[in-house]
Amino acid sequence: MSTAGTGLTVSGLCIRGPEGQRLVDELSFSIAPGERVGLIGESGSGKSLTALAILGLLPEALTASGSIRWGDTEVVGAPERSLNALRGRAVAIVFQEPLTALDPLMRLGRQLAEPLRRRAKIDGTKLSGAGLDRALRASLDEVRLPDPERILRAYPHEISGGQRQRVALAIALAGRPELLIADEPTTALDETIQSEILDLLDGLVRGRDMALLFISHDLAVVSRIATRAVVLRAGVAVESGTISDLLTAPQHPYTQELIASARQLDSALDWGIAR
Amino acid sequence: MTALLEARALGYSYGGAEPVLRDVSFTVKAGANLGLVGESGAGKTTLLRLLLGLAVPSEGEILSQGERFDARSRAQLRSYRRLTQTVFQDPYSSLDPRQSVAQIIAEPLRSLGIARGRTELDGLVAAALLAVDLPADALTRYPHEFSGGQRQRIAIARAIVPNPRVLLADEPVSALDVTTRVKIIDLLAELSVNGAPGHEPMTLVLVSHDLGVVASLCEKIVVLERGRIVEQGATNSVLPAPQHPYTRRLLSSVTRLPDSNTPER
Repeated sequence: MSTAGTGLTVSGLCIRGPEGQRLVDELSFSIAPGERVGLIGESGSGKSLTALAILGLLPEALTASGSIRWGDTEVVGAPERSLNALRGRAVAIVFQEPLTALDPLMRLGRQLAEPLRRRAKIDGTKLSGAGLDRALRASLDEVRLPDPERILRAYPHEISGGQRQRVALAIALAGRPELLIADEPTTALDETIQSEILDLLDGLVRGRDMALLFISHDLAVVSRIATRAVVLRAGVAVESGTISDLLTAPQHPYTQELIASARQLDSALDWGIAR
Repeated sequence: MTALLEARALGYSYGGAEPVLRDVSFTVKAGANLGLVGESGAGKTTLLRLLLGLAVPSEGEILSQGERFDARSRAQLRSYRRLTQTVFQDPYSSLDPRQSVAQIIAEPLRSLGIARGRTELDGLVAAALLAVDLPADALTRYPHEFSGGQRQRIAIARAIVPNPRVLLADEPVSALDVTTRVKIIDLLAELSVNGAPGHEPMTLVLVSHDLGVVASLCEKIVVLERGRIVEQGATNSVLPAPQHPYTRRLLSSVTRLPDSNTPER
């Protein structure tokens, strides 16, 4: 399967619920290789469903129509087997709550070894023994996790939330994806940790020349990491453009409201109570 | 003026473990909302449990309007609850799904024995509903019919109905979308400045990790790190010039919108 250098194109994507209700309606956007795009929306706007649809992971009760193309591959309606070749290797995802992505009963070393081995197999090599050990340490080093011995032996509950998100990121990166989808990856974390993870993500995406789809309700977080964004409301893209255009000249009343709300909280930090 | 609430050298440890709170002292005065900030592990939840009377401090004491508050005394707990009501973080789990909105809001009036008779009770409930900007037909409906922001309004109506002097709010907006968040902040500001119609203003004690929310609502700020107060003072002097490295770190890690006139990186 050829995927290189073509990026992701979503066109006319509709996601319907069990009673036919439109959860995502005629959504179109594209992400070029190496590009960083934000998907902004509040709860229920359909942003996480869009992420799942891109991976072909929508729950069975929901149906997607339209088109999601990754290179030559059409994801909508594709058989499971062809999607498996895509997941992890072309597109990988990190979720808001890393605990749901990690197996609670498996040591982190084993969970990280799995995608590393799979990737090595695709590349025609085999990872084991000292080679695997080196790859595991390099992986943890890349997400700046110190003390690899302890982390690799630990179970998910034995490390902190920020450390778990770093491990989840290492697992997502192990397949060397061309596109990383990050679905509210810092929302569950304390602000100081959130800031560190954003810096890390930013560095990794630039360093690997990887494309990024960053999903968040938080406009400030999105503007820190993406260059372009799509604003989603109740399943409909109300506006899209470069971050600076969105912030300086928002066209849609909803985008204007989002920005005004965020600015109100920001200015309280500078000026205190405005009364 | 007697403080509404005072924490004097509070300490707490679970079992025989290391204390999770040490020597925590602050004063809540009428008209000066107080924000308790810190990250996970700072001791915010434990402190809140003490302020709610759900746990008894291992060290120090809490004074309520100058009187020592002992949460083990049912009579004291009862009078404390008339004075201090609470709004929790998650509007999805803090409202009983089997009770109508009218029953939910009336609950503190019943349990504190405040309203005399049906007419007075209904009147107080309707007034509380109006104060939080919910339509009158909300009374006969159930929590699942409402959005997160509306549910938080129901929770606020329940808290203000017995006319408390102090409103303890535990991350009251952090589960809400940003546009809803500023509306609930405006409502809490209104209740603490002007009070609900016919009621006196309430003083907020706001527990939050979010400095923007605390800055929007609180005249005073207390910064907690690993169970200790590292800094406290007037919000408009602490935030512009934080003295403690931890406060500086908290402040610098807030992700803000870039200035609209700053060119892109």
